[in-house]
Amino acid sequence: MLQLVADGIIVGSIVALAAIGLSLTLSIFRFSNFSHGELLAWGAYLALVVNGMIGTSSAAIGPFSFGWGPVFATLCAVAGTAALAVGLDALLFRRLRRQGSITLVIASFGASLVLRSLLQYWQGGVPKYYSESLQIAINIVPRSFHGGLRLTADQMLVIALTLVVAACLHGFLRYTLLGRSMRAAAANPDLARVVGINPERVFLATWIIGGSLAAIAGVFAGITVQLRPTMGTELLLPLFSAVILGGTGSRISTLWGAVLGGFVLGLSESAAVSLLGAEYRPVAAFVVLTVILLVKPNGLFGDKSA
Amino acid sequence: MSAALAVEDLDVSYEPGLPIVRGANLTVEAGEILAILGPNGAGKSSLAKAVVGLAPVTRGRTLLFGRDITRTPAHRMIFEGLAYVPQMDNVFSNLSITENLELAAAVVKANRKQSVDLIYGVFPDLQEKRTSLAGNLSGGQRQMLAMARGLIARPRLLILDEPSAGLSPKMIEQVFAKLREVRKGGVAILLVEQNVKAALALADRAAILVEGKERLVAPCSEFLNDPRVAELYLGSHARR
Repeated sequence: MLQLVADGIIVGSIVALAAIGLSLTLSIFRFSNFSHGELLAWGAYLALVVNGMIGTSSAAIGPFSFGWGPVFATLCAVAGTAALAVGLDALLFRRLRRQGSITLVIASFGASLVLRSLLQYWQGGVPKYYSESLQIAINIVPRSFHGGLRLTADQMLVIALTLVVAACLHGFLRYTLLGRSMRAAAANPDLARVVGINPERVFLATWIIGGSLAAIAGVFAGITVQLRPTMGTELLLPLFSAVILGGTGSRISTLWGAVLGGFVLGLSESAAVSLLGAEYRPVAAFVVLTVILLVKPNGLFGDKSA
Repeated sequence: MSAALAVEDLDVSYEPGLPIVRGANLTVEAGEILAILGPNGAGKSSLAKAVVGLAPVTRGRTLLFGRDITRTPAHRMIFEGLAYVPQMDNVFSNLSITENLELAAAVVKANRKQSVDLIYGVFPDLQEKRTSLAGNLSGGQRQMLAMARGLIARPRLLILDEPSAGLSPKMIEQVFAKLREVRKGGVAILLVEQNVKAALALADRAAILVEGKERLVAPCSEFLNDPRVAELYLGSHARR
């Protein structure tokens, strides 16, 4: 039981990080970006490529399975994925912004297909791993208590970093001028302009943050599972389910809504695998999505008008 | 000395070939309150939005203290000295009163604390509720906050779109009294209003806009003293 919950929270952490970025872009740009999952996959592969270039000879940090090399590779992947998101906006979304959200959604479908195909062409379809070495799980709770709980140091790091990143983003949105400007632009874009907020600066910051979080989520997915060019597409339904469950809009609480949504999705998937079998994993996200839309279409913390 | 605002031959159009404002000409002198009156659909709000860069200008130009601001993006207007208070959704309802004011101060790089304290001196009622979310305020309080937010950047011209809309007569009195104080501070005001009586009592001059074009611009005393003129241009609104 405990293991089931922990597994769900680990998967949920990955979903949560990517969902925060997706929720931000949805609130600011007011369209569902279906290429967000591909940013996650690109982030994961960029880290793999940089890690391969610098070599993996560095000693592991403490109890973790990786050294400073992969940390540096992750930072490069964050920068690269943020640049990819900004580039995608400059090439595609910015030119279509005046056409309305339906056009942008369809464009994001196209962008998703192109990004996935390019990744598959570049890296091939065979699953890859950051490390071939096996990490020993630490016994957290003895088996006698609700089946026990064993986690690797990497898994614990994923959960902790998700909460730290969400808390940092909370502080950014709450206390910095740019963060407040982003909340203002999400709530009322015209009024934000009248106040003197440059919408292009807000858009740029949104893509950078969204891309960066997607990259971190991608690396976490790579650490805990494996890398596949379709990994972003496979996470798309859980991502949207988490965002819709948390609610979208201009309130800071939607950030934590996305985190909570991610955890709920992770736990649902974990429960579906345990109770029904691995082939039912994707069904969990679909069921959650359907129930939210029927019961609370604005999500847990969403604006009423969102 | 240049007028605070000069609108010259202005056309505003959301759809090609369907102008809402058609060749409008107006001036707001420095330190003056000019009221724009007219029936619904006359293009009053569109004219105000076009001046601040939120509606497309297809012809003509606008000058702020002699400087052409026709193509200035909306987010640069506040730096030119022009503040705008929209009719609807004029505060960030997801931010507290203080956050609304601090954001407006920070964007123009004013000292946040000093500016907010100064504004609270002018709007003491807002200070009492400073931690309240703007979305939880009454219509009148929101209007006060919207005005305060506009004034925090120390504009030279303030444009207000129907500040009396949806307010009780008592609250309208308070809002307009505050506008008198603002004018005393040397800020020119362009007031778009449906409440003819209150607007004429406040403003120095008024312009009647009909079908996107000013039909009459005169001192308010002329409108007030000549009911036939008011009746001719404003119809039933004059009897409010």
